[in-house]
Amino acid sequence: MHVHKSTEIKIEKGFKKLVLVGNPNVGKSIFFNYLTGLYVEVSNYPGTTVEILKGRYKNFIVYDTPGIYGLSSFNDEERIAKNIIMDADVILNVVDAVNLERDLFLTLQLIDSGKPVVVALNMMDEAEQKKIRINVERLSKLLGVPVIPTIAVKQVGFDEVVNAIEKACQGNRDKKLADKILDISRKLNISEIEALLIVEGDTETIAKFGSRFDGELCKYDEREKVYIERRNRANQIVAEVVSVDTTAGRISGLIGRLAMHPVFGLVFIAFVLYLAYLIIGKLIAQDLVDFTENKIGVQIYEYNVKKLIANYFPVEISVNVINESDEVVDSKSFTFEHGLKNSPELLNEMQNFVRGKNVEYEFNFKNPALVIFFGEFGVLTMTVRYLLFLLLPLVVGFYLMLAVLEDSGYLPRLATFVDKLMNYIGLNGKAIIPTILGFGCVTMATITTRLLPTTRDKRIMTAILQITIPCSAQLAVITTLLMRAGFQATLIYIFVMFSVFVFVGVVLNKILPGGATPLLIDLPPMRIPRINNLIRKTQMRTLFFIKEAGMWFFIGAFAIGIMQVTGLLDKWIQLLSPLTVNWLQLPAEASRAFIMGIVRRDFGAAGFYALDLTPMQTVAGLVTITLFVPCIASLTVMLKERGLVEGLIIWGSSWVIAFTVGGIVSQILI
Amino acid sequence: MKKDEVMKLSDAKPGMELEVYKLPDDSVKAHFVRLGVTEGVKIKCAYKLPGGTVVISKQHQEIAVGSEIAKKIIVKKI
Repeated sequence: MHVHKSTEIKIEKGFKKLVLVGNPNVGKSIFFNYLTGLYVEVSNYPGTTVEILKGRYKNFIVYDTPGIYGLSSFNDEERIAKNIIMDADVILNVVDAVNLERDLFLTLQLIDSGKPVVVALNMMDEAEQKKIRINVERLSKLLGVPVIPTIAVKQVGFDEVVNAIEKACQGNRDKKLADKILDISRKLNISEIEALLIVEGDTETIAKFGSRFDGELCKYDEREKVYIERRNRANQIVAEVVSVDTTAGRISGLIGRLAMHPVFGLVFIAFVLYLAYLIIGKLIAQDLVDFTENKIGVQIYEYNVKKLIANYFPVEISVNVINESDEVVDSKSFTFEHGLKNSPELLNEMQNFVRGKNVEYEFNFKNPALVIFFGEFGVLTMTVRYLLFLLLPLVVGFYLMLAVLEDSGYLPRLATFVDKLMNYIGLNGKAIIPTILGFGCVTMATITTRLLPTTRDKRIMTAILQITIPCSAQLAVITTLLMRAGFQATLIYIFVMFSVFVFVGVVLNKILPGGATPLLIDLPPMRIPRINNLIRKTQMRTLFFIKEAGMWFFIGAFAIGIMQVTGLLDKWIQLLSPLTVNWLQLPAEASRAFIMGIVRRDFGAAGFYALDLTPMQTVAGLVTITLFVPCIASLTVMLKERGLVEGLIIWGSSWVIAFTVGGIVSQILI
Repeated sequence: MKKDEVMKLSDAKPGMELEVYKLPDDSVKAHFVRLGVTEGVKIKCAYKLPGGTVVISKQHQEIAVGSEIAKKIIVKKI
């Protein structure tokens, strides 16, 4: 039934489905880009192309699928890939010539499904370097499908691939298995690929038809036998077509191994983190952002936008004169009842006051609507400044670093290196990636939890990220405040935060059923990243991030603006103040910081700047604000990724944890 | 350790040449078979990390195996 329906759609549109399939890191995406002209990412980390990518080539609709080692439902990526492959008319299977033995398992499985297949034998250059010789003609004969040698990064062999797609055909299937598949497919009236998946015990396919054939389907399950026979066949083919000159060494393997060495591995991490700190923490977060945010954002962008509005609407402008050490030495207010344009004398007076001085302007609009859009937290002033001049440089920096780490092949090794440590908090080594990213931007990191294997892993990781990890924007403010508070305060803060991080992980690991998914990953070779690829990847992700998170910044700012002009903000601050004053032992004004923290993490922390806090008050306040809810953009992304109920539970828990831990710290210290 | 001695992969020392003797009977086995590791295949214990995570190598391939899985794999020293 299912097959008929999709055939009808295909005929109607006149398009066939061409699906690209391959193991991770075989260069599949380059083929996709070439065929469709659209950009998709190529990377070294197993499974980064989780989004389904679709494009057009001649009369084909081309699909890219996540990298997989076989067709089944062992994880999300496989499930996604399998479901696309089920409806494929033609499969372009990209195979790594260096790891032919590994990759042929999937190739044979695809051929066994009865779908027409073309094989692109990629990375022929690397194979040559490693003195691996492959008899392509013989391979093609044994498989029964066209096999085209290619070097994707240099577009070698692409014309031949394109020609071969038109000639794709069913390959040499395992005879006995094919008979069985045909038999089942006829008997149950299902497609051949579905029959294959049932024989291979694919849980999802069995569940799909389970109700129609009650329990009958399990009797066909011969996964182990089929898998081992297929594996043996793959090995036989390799033995027949591949000749290796074994004297060739593995020099590129050296760095890869150093990265996982018990001692040098640590040195390696330290080196990578230091480099990241230099580039992102220092160059971007301090120097560049200081320039873009303060110079371009505040002094040029916001000033001009506000001034433009102030020309025509009632406004009170406070001018603060600033000395060399950023202290306000003089201040004067000017009230323009009908806008700047209508009071030229007053404007003149203001300009005379300003002349030759280093000043800061504060625009206070009377009209509530203007406050929402152009005020302190204005949708068109602060939000734009934050998004474009603060967040954007940071996000670009982080994504660039991530791309380098991914394309170099270091991430899977880092994951291996920290695997055991992550096990204690119920995760496997792969979770190190969202954790590191979280220090850049929690919103971005929450999106990358997609690469974790199970729902349990994603759940734990999201909770840890959203509750305990401060993002770079917040870290910048925290660092400044801790510097003032002193060394002892800094140590206490780090100790408390780390304890909570471990505590949240350990507790979730205990209460959630199941255990950490043990690590089992194929390690791609270490490669020097290609600049083009780094740039395109960073660009694509940055745009995605701005699209995903940007809108919520505007909505958040709009909401807080409304609360501000309606007086709700003050109400909430009053409501929260007993907690702030009695339990956390902070000044009542600190409540405002928490409310701001709901919108943006660093706002919260920045709210402490103006308060005269003792070092221990600073620690208590910072612990609370760090553990407190993440920004509104992360909240929305979390709700999208984890669902409404789970997202709100995590969000609610961060309120409880923040005030509980913050209070305890305060009661002990103060 | 003697030749032909059977042990858990988690007990193997780095540098040892091994033959896979027994894989656990679950989806882990399916995953290994796909990656090209079956019973009888020759591998090398390339690395062992402090927590017990093992990296095995086979020709041009390297596979990281978490300690929980390594404990369930029986190998023979060759």
